[in-house]
Amino acid sequence: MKKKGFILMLSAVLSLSALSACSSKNNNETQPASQGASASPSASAPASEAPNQDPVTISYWHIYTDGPMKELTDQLLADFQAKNPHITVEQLGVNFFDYWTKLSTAMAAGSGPDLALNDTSTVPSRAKTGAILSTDEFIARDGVQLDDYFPVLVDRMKYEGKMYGMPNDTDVRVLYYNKKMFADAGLDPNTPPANWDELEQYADKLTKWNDNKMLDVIGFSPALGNLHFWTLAWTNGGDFWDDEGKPTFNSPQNLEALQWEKKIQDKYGVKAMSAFNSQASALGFSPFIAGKAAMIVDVNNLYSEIQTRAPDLDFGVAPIPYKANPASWSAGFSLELVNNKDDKRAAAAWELMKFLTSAEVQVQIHEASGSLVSNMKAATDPKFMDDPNWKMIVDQMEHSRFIEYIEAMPSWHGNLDPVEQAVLNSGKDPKEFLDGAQKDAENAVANFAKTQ
Amino acid sequence: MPSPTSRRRNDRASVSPSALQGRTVETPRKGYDSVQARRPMKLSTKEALNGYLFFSPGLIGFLVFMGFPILYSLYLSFTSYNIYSPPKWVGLLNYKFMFTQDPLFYKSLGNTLYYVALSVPLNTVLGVLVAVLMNQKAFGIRVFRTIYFLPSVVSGVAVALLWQWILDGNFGLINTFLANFGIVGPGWLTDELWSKPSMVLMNLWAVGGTMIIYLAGLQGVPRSLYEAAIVDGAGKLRQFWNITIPMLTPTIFFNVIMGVLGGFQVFIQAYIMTGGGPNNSTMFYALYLYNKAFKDLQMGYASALAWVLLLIAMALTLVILKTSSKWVYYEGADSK
Repeated sequence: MKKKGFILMLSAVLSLSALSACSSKNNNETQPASQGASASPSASAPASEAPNQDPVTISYWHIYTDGPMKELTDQLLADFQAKNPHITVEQLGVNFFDYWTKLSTAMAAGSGPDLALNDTSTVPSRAKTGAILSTDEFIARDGVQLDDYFPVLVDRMKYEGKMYGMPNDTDVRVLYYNKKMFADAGLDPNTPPANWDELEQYADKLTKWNDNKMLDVIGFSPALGNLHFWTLAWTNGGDFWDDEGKPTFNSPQNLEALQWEKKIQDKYGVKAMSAFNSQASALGFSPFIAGKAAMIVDVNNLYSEIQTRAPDLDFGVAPIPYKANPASWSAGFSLELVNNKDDKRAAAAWELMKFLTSAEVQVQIHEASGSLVSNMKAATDPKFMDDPNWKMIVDQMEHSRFIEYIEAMPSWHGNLDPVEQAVLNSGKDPKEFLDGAQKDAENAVANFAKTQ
Repeated sequence: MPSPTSRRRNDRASVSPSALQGRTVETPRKGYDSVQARRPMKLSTKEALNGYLFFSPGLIGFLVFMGFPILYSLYLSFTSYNIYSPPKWVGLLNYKFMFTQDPLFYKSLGNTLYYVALSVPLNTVLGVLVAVLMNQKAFGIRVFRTIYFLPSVVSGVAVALLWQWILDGNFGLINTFLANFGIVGPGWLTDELWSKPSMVLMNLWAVGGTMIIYLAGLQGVPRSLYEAAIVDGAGKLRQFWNITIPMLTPTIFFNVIMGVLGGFQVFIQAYIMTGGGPNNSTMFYALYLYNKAFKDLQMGYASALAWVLLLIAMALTLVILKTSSKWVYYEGADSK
């Protein structure tokens, strides 16, 4: 290679690495607040303990980097600081994909924020190790009514009987059904399927094939939307963990649920289904909105999506059809006080947490994002409950469950998606694959026990 | 990159300081044994010391910000560590579990090898071809070069989101296009069979990054060789095969190694587009490692995974290095 070539090549490599450095910086997209967010809150912390009204600066990290929630967050923080002039909030919004890495490493290094938005499902992991603070004393002192919040969320914020933070918002899965297609197929648009058998019968009637043996409209598919195998298993009285923390993945109820899914899916066949199948919901384009699925189980967010994308769609919302007992699946975000060993900042962060979870503010959050906020007073505000669909969504919180937090296997449900996909898309045997998942879970639990 | 050119440059660079040293050292040193002071030995020591001094900022930076974390992760790989509480020593348990009881370890490793085995050759062939094309003297060629190069500078997240649209089974560009010809395209990202090839395809889109390096290599091929070949009556194809390719082998060698190492780290596409699905078919090693570290907070196990990956990547690189003498041709090195 000649010198010129070498230099050209070198500069190409260098500029590449420089560019990738830029782009990785962009990924971490920091959204400095008006004060310019600082990652080291300790630098701005006052040295001495003093009464409440001394100025204090706290940091708040969240995932709202653009759109209405970003605007609302800016406005809410301005409101909060107007009410609490002694507290300065430095906010940092990080995009969802990078947030979790940044937050957990910063917390591990002791440079985490004072108030953090985090995953409700994994509260015990942080509570157990003292990474976050209990909010019991604050709640008692300020008379915050936990009864105002969805019980399942309050329950999930507890570790060994103590509250660790406050729930912020959640979601829940419901059945959406296309009323026009119901009427066209001779079904009563006001009687959605209530159980598995009805769901299957209705699905058969609603499915439309075209001349190429491809699916024009799918009646119902467990592979579309956001049902997930464990949710369906729960509606069959199934469970994945017993009271002693042992896996029961291949219990008869679970197996029955998976076999039922397979039975439904096999009606469409792998070929037609794979042509149909898509990650549409991840693209904000659900097959239900596109009029390609007559019924779908999906998150409550789909409701706001329908309202913006297809306001004319004639549809209804119903509980997930069940076999043994009603159930749904929820996940959510919590607000937590990171243990930065600074009582004053923790107290100020609590004030912000209390503000953000108060009914008035949560009403605004719901209005901006359509999300299912944790404060029942806000979520069931009369002006929202006039809408029968929204009422139906809120009502499902009564039966909804969270993924159990299993320290040995925090993402155990992640192991069930591949099982479901193998059975539904690749025609694999449900029993064999559930047994396999059971064995993996047993191994993981046994192995984890050895590390303790 | 160990190229003869760079070695030559280094030699030249090291000549002048030592000559300079020689002159300055000779005179002042009084307290020392004068004989020893004049010895070349002493000079080289001092020269080495200066050398260390000069690159110490880099060295210290490396040791503190790379060396220490790397070694610490080796330690962590023998522990159970959940980030929030101190690591607990568990000996070889992580490695034992990985090799004997973790099907996802093998699955993700298999996926990654599949990806590397498919994407590196394709990238090499396409990269060379596009580079040769872009090396033509045609009107507006610089514009084309830029166009081909552009995708490789776009942030990975943006690329992934873009391709999610292109590859979408129902509404994606590709399947909509295929539908015009009555072809029902597969669910590129939702079909187990197609998910990995789709990601290889996606990666090919950014071939401009390697193209630019090949292009640089091509520009370094002396014209005289082609002229001599033309005189000897060699056709275009023969010139390409017997001159261009051999002269390009050091560049290919470099790109293959970088491609393999990059391939082992394939992460962002799967993280954003599929989350490892369907049925773990895009669960690449780096994604699995990330999930273990940041989703399950099993840092110890994730560190063990990282070290196993390092050993595998190192072994493969070594194999490629060993074979390089058989196929990599360095200008001026063939006289032996």
